[in-house]
Amino acid sequence: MIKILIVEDEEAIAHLIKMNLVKAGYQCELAFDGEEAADKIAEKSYDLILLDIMLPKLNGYEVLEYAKSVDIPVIFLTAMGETQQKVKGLRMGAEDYIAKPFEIAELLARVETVLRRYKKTEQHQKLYDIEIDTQSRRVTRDGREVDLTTKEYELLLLFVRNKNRALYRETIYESVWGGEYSGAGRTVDLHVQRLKKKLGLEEHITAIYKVGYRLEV
Amino acid sequence: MKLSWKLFFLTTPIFILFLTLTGSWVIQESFQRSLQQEIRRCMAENQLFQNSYELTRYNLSKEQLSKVSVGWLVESFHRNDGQSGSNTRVYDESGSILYQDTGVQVPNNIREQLTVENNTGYELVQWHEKTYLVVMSVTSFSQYIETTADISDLFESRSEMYARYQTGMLFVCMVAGCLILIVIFAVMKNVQKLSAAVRSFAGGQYGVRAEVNSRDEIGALAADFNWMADAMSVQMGKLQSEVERQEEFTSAFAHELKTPLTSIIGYADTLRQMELSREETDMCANYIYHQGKRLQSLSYKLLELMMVGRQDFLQKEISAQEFLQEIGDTVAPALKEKGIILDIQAQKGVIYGDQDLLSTVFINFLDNARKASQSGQHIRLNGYVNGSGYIITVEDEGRGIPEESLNRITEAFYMADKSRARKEGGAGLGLALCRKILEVHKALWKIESEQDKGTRITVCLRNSQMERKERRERRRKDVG
Repeated sequence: MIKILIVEDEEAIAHLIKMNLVKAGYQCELAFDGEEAADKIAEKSYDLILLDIMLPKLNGYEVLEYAKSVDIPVIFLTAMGETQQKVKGLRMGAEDYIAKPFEIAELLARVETVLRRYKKTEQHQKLYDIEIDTQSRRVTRDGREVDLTTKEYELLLLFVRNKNRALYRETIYESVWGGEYSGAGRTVDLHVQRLKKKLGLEEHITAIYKVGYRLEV
Repeated sequence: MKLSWKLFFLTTPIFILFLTLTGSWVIQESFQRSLQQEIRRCMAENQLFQNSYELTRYNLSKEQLSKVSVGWLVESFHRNDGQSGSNTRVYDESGSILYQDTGVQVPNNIREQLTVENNTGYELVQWHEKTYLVVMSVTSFSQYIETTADISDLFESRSEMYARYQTGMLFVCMVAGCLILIVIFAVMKNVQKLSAAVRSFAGGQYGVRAEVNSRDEIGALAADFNWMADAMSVQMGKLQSEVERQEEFTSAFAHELKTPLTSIIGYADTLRQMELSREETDMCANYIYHQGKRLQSLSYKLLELMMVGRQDFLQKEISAQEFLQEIGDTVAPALKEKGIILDIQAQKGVIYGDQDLLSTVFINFLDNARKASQSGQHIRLNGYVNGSGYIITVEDEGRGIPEESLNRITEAFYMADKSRARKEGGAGLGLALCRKILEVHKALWKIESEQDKGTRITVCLRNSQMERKERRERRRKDVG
């Protein structure tokens, strides 16, 4: 199981991240200041660290340096708009950043991307009779390859990552297509219909009235 | 055209013109003098000849006179004075030559001008490329005596002087021109220095000053520029630090805003997306509620902070004793709940200010003291008259403030212990608000603290007397 250390001095945010990562199937531990984080990194091995920059005792950059020395990938959390923090964090070797306030889907996507980059996730994801090879981006059903467009593939990954989670149309649009969701247009619905048909997921991806879709497992 | 060249082309021709005029005048004057002298000399010579001739003639009788020629006469008086003429000619009335001892005969018109009263005349005559001075006088027996002198040398020497003067002047002008140029460029160098300094200043190098040490107007201009640059630097420094403070405040504010927002949005997002257990739902709702409260307190405090800066608040005399008692009554319930004992000792006195704002300050101080204290500890609120002011101290026996935080504690959003401040619902704005209120009251105050021993805040408020005195002093200063 993948172990993630969450370093965040704001208790509310720390618990929020933990709750959602646990639901997504990760194992999580919390550290509320820089020293505690460094101690935990020294004691145990983690697959990923989510790190706030403004921390008491030791600041985020110092913890980042320490984490890099033991080769653990780091995603740092920063208040939005603080470009200098972002640049400095990325320069110092952080894998990615998440700007506060963030959406849960974004958090999960970024965590998964970094883990995949470090080949810590399963390369093969299974969902009923469907197999997804995230390395080669190939999808097979019953051993036969299914031809998916890029958007359909990303849509599938989004559902797989957010099992049992209601995905709002705006969330789906923003993470697959990017940009602001206007509320009009049936792009999301059309793609979901196509995906359901191609993979025989009619039973499992359910529409939620006025909200969006959920992959039920 | 550059100013230096303008100056050069303006001064040099004037210089040359004056030099030429003066030189020509001097040469002409000296020439005229020599000429006059020569004329006088020739006239005298002519006169001498005439006198001798007439004298010799008078000494002879008529018969003797008819026997001798003019030539013999001339030779006889020449013999007497031991001289011999070489430039004299004698004519009779009709103009035929009676005697001559010179080969040079220069045509002239003097004869027509001669009268009985004015019996001598002269004329300058150009003849065969030479200049002659011819003097003619008429004798009493109507004979004309003409003496001729070659004065070409005089004219030649004048031309020579002119030529020499021109060469000299050319040289002088060149030297003078160079000197003028050097002086102009020396002056202009300072102007260029000043101009370079101004340009780099405008280009953003605000440390640059003009290094001109001369005492002339340009030096004064440079000094003025430096003075202006200094004044501007000071002003810019002030603006810079103001901007920095503003930026710090904004970024701290953004951070304070984003933290509760992140929680609220995140938990709400979780709630709407997932099917959660009863406890999980409660937890989410609880966090949303508390973070929402935090945002509320932050916005209220911020609003208050902004109002203090703008408001035209009402300053009036307040009875210090009543004021402190009132504050004590306000905070008493909260203190009692935590088991903290409040001692109030207040001397009679008057303070001057806005009662509501000042209440905010001391309630904030007491609230901080309460947060730092434990059950059974004392908080002392003392007030006493000191000179023309009134001093109020708030003292607790609580955990104290760490030394490194002490001078940052009044900054907006600064929290010495963030997690504890959060739990107690602080936004990090309380002391910033107090500082602002005390600032507008022109009160002096300080915070002393020792960890685990307690904190003491001392505020010196002015009473109305001080206020009046100060106003009087200011007026006196304005008049003076």
